[in-house]
Amino acid sequence: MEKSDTTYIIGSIFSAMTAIFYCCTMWFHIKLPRYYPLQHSWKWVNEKGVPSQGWYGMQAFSFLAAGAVSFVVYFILPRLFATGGATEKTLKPAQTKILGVVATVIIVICMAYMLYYEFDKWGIF
Amino acid sequence: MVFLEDFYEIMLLIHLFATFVLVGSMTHNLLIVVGYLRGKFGRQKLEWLYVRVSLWAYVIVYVIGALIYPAFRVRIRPDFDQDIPWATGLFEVKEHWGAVGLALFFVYYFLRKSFQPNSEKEKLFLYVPLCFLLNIILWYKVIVSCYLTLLKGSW
Repeated sequence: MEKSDTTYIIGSIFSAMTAIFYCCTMWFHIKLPRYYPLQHSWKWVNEKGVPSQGWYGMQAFSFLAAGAVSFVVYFILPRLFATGGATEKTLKPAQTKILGVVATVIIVICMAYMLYYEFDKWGIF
Repeated sequence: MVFLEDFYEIMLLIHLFATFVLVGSMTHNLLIVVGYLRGKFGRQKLEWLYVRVSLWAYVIVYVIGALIYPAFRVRIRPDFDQDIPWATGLFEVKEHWGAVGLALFFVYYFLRKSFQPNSEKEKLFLYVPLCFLLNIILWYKVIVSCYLTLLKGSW
């Protein structure tokens, strides 16, 4: 498989998965480490009434999870595209277009959800 | 004492200057990428330069933003939460989109590095939307940040 095709596939998957995993932290209220700036400490619990920051944990989780998925795909990709003894195969134009559109739609939906989630939570809607 | 509290204002200024570079390069990048949709591929080298500048500017903006966030969280945001909670809502979206934007920026960079827009046009199906999304994220961040700083920029 050509290097540009591999980059395209992995890039599509990583960008879409980052958005999905980031939204998962909101959907499932996943417990992640929070930084407490006044105490200079990290805790897994969300203590009410004490300023804390969950943003670092959310992004670390989404990057690592999306990275893990992309890593797995990177290693199974040659097997997926190897047919009939051929080890090299290029991505077809139609597949390239569909992959790009699907990744874009997923990212847009996730960004819209983030907007809705926060606007709803803070009374903007 | 909160982490880097004493350097908040100077770091905020550097954050702002890097944002100027970022928004300028990405907006110019968008103008060239829109040209790709019309079949104009004459400024690919300049567009690739904008991508590289944008990536580094975004990383600088992002790292500084992450470093001064604790001081913002303790000294400024409580006032937003109490008096104008909708401002916190605007800010939180900025942070979420900014985090996703970091991943998109690296994908955008490596994607552009791996292909030539004039010879692999089908790859524009991801490249062009990413360019638009990154510009939406950046302009949202700029407008919201400037507005929130007008409401309460320091303490």
